[in-house]
Formats: sequence, C-alpha cells, structure tokens
Amino acid sequence: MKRLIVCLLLVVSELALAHKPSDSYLQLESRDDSTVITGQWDIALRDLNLILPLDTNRDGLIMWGELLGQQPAIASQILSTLTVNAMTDRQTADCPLSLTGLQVSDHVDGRYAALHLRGNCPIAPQFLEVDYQFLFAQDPEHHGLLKLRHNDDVLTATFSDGQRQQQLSQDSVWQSFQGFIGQGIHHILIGYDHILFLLTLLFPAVLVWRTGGWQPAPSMTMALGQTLSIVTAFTLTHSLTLALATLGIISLPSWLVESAIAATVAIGAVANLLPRFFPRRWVMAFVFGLIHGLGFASVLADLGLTSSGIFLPLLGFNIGVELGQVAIVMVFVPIAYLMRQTHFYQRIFVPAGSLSIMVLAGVWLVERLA
Amino acid sequence: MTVSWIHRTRPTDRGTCHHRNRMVTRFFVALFSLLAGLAGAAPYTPASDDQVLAELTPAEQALGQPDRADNEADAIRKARTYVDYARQQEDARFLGYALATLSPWSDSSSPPTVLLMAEIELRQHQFDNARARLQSLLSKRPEQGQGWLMLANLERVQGRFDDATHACRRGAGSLSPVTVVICQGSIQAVTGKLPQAWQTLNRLAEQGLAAPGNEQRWLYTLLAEMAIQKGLPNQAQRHIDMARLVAPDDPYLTYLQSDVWLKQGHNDKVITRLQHWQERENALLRLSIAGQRSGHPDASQWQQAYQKRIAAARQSGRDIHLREQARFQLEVTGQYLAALANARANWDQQRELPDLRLLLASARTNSDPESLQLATDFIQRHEIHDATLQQLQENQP
Repeated sequence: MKRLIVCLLLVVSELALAHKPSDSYLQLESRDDSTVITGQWDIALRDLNLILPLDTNRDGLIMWGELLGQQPAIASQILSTLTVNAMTDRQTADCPLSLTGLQVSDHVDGRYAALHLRGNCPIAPQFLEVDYQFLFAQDPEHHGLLKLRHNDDVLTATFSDGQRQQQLSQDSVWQSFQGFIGQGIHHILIGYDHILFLLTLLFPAVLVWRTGGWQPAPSMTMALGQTLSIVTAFTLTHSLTLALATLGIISLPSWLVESAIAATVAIGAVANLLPRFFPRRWVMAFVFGLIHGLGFASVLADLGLTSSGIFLPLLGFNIGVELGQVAIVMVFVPIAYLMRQTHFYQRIFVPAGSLSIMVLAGVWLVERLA
Repeated sequence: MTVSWIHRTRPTDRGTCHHRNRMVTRFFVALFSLLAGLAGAAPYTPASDDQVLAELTPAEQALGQPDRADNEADAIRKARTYVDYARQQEDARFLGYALATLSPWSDSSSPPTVLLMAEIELRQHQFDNARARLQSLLSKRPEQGQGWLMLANLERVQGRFDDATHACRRGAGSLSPVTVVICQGSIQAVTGKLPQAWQTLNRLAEQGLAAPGNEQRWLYTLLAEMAIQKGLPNQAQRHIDMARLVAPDDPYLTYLQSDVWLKQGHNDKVITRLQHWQERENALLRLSIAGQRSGHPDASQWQQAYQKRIAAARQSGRDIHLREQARFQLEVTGQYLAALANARANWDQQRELPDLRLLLASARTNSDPESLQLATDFIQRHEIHDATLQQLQENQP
C-alpha cells in the first residue's frame, strides 16, 4: 500500500511520454467516375502483433517471413475491421475490400506493415463513408488517420474509440473554410481597436465639412459614396498586409504593430476634431489599413496555420473580417444617416465621441509602448 | 484587442548576419522535415524472409494476445504493471493497454480502480477528467490519502496553490506526517516560502525520515528542483545522485540531470548519457539542444528526428507535448513566434516552474507585452523565487 501511495506522487510532473501513442495511417483514393477504390493502410507491427501472432517462433523478433505468413489472416481478420461505403445522394453501397499486396514501410516510431487495398464498389462514389474498428478493444487510445484523395481533393479524418465512423465529402474542406470565416467575423467583432478605427472614420461619412462646420450630407448617394470609399480603401490595404504577413513576407514585432494600431485610432479621432487638415478620409483608411492587416495576421497565426494549407484559411479569415466589417457598417451608417441632421449628432456625438476615442486610444498607445 | 503578436527576429550581438543565415537554414530544415514527416513513407518489400523487421521487448512479447482479466483485482494488478511500464519506458501505448484492461470496470467506485484511472488520465493530460474523478472519490472516501496527494499535485501543476495546500492538509488524516510535510513543501517552494521548504526538506533528508524507496526518490527530486530554483547546480546534482540510488534509470531524473548539465554547458555529458535513448522524444529534444550547442555531427539528424515526432503527434491530433515543443522551437529551431504560441497554450494547462520559465523566455524573445505581463503577474502574485526567472527578468531587452 505504501509503495502504491508514493508511486503516484511523481505522476504529474513527468507526464509527457516519449513514444508516440498508437496510430495507423490509411490512405484511400477514389473518383466519382470509377467504382474502384485503392488504398494503402500502414499498421505498426507492434499493433498488428496484438491481434495476430507475428512472432511465430517466439524469439522476440518479427521477421519478414513471419509477417508474410500472416497474410491470409491479415486479409480476413484485419480487413474486416474496416468498412468503406460508396455513397451518392440516393444510395449507399458497401465496397468489399481485398488485400492486393503486403509490404513494409518506415515511420518515425518504427516499422509498419503496409497493406495494399482494393475495394470494388457497386456504384461510383460521390463521397465515402468509412467505418473503422481496428485495435480499439486492445488499445482505446489508438487513432486511425485517414487521408482520402477523392478526385483531386484531399480530405482527412481521424478515427478514435469515440468516433469510429466518418463521412467524407467535400464538406470537410468547406467546413474548415467556414470555421476560418467564423474566426474572421469573431475577430473583427471582438477587436475593439479595429471597430473603433472604422467607426471613427465613418462618423463623418454622413456629413460634409463646409467652411468651419459640419453639414448633413445632401443625399443618400453621397453618404453611401463616402462610406464605400472608406470601407473599400481599408479593405484593400488590410487584405494586402494580412496576406503578406501570413505568407511570412512581412514580419514586424507585435509591440510595434499593436502600438501603431492604437496610434491609427487616435489619429482617426483627431482627424474628426480637426477635419480641415484631413480632407480625404479614404486616404487615411487606405494607409492605416496596412497596419490593421498586420494585426489581423497575428490572430490568424495564433489559430495555428501550417504552411501546407495557407490559401483557404487566409481567404476564409479575410472574408470573415469583411463580413464582420459590413455588419458594423450596416448597423452604424443607417443610424448615423438618420441622425445626421440633428444638432446632437453634429455638435455633440461626433466631437465628444471622437475625443473619448482619442483619449482611449492614447491610453492604449502608452500601455502598448510601455 | 485579443492576444496577438508578430514574429520578431531578434539579432544578437554576436555575428548578426551569420546568426540570421543560420536561422533561415534552420527554418528550411524545419519546414522540410515537417513536410517529410507528413508525407507517407514509401512502402517496400524486404529482400529476404529472414530480414528482421522489428524487435519486441519482453513486455511486448508478453502482450501477445492480451487475455482478459477475470476480476477487478487482477485487472488492477495488470493495468498497474502497464502504467508502470509506460512510465519507465515512456511508452504511451501501454497506457492504452491499461485502459483496455480496466475497461470492464471503468465505472467501478472501488478506490484503487478510480485512482488508477485518474493516474492514466493525468498522464494523458486529461486534467479536468482526473480532477473530477478524484474529487468524486474523495467526497465519498476522504480517507483515501493517495487520492489527496494526487489532487494536490494536480492542483500544484495547474498553479492552483491554495487548492493544492488544502488537498495536502485533507490528506493528513490518512497519510504519514512525513508525506504531508513533503507535500506541503512542494507547494511552499513555489509560493514564496522556498527557504522554509528548503530547510524542512533538507532536515527530513538528513534525518533519513522519508520512507525508503519512492518517498525518498520524491524527496530528493524535490530537493534537486529546489536547488535548481536557488541557482545551486552542484547541490542539485548531489540530490539527483541520491534519488538515482533509489531509481537508477528513472526517466524524469535522467532528464532533470540533463537539464542541469545543459545549464552548466556540459553538452558532452548530455550526449553520452542520452545517446542510447534516441527512440525517446524527451531524450531527442535534449540531444538536439546539446548537439546544436556543441556542433555535434549528429545534431541535425536528432533535430530532424524530433521535428518528425512533433509532426506525427500533430497529425494524429494528440499534441500534448506543448512544453517540449515550445522549448525545441525556442532553443533549437529559433521559431520564436511558434514557441510563444505553444508556451501560451501550454500555460493554459500546466503552470510548473519549467512552464513559467518557457513562457517568460518566449515572451521576452518576442517582446510580447501581454505574455510578459501574464508571467510577471503570476511571479508576483505567488512570490515565486527562481534563479532562471530572475535572470530572464533582469536581462532587459
């Protein structure tokens, strides 16, 4: 009992185990104009040995001859743990798998048996459903990593004890794309400094500066035109730097970017207070968009991009940012347009709002430079 | 604004241009090995039937066709062996076998089963599950001393020091006084009472009060860690030697010792000690660091091997080695931005001194004010004294 107690003491400090847990690697290829599926399934010899006795002469060594000897058992017992269904919108049909060859392959954690597979489907699949039952009874921590090349798309999925069945359609790529759009929207909506910058620029979009005072924009067209020019300019440049920074072409220290963003907000607010010195707001949006794009890029980097698939996430994230931005514009501009003739909007809201934003951004700037 | 930072390459005083070239090379080595790791290896047909494909350890041989345990007591015994083997050999597969063995009794309320399940969860970094399991057990069976110890450790690792202290105290009813003192000492060392803890535990050691075996190993390991904290590598070395008398091949101690050597610049000792452990990731990490620092001919091979392990873990969606990854990126490949991201993600899970050191070091390297603040606040709030942290704080950029 005593031994047991103290044995547990060091548990937490030394958690990370050095050998990787058990994974198998399943690659499948299918086309929507063919009824044949081909594939290769790499299973660690150590894992296979839990199901089939690979060390038949019990000398502690697994030899190629011993593995070959188990080929019929692999074809029956191992392949039966894997089911592939061809699916179309209307029907689902099982594609019986056969073992067409056996080789070995090397992975980071040792040698694997490479099972060559072929499935004959009654119908050509538009997408696939895969049911994976291998090894979970022996090792619930086992994962099956599937890479499917369907037509020219590559889809991936991970099977685990809790998720043994997966449908693979182009949706998977679409879903991850949607995820990045969501992240983009989320980010602009919670990124106060971006919202404030945009709003600051938009405050006077429904007004015109005439000889020392704000006047309501004479027409909806003019207010819309000013709004559009600002939003488009901001979008163009922040998309550009977002892409350049994500691709690693530009790299600036975060304190600099964050401080510069705070500065842009402050300058935007000052411009509202001293409008005669800043006649073209879209120019400001255009130039400062460059800086805000770098800020977006750092968020995208945090989401954990790999160099392998950078384009879709970048596009999705950017679209998300624009959607969020459009939402802000659609809420703010109509209200501002309706209020533009009021004394409150021209004399109180715009100056006092700009002043508060300037102070707030000033505080950020000092904090970020500190 | 949410957490954000942009990569900053910090040129150092010595040979800026050379340094940057090396960074670029490292980046491509890293990228290449990452891609190589993700690409499926090409299969081949061995030349002859006699070609040896794999060697099974005796434990693996014994697995053969795992037979089901007939009763709970047998299952616990068997699972315990697997978990111990997993720890000793650092082989995560055996945790899976332990789980499979326990699976018919996974809902059992018998304390040994619950404790073992919690231990497996801890090793798999499923901290919330483990906490819930332990708390539920202890609410019904507060006399389960080892449950309180495990909970105390879990809370300490996650930086919840008040909860950890409370758990040590609750365990006092069923644990030996010495065990409770060591438990408290492990928390005091990171909550502003390092000198007291150091004195108390040293006294326990001098008077030989710890139970022979694992409790001694625990005591000396803690003392070694405190010595590192105090910036006394030679004393740390002595305590590690004492702990190793009890557990000569203990992986945790081996790595602790290697880290002391790395700090002292004894790269050759690290390489000699770990060279035969290349199948272990934790060893590869330290070999990569020592190899690079000493210009060892195998350095890039170790580096690539480690990089492949990271890629494989990421691919399988089981990225629990964030602490090690961050360290590798910070100390070997110079991927500072990624190091910071991993150090931050790791910080959400684990808040031990090595995690804090990594957070502070990567925050410094990236000049990330938010992460710096995070680390500094934690240090101040808990009055943490640590030589390495102090060094990092004093080296103002």
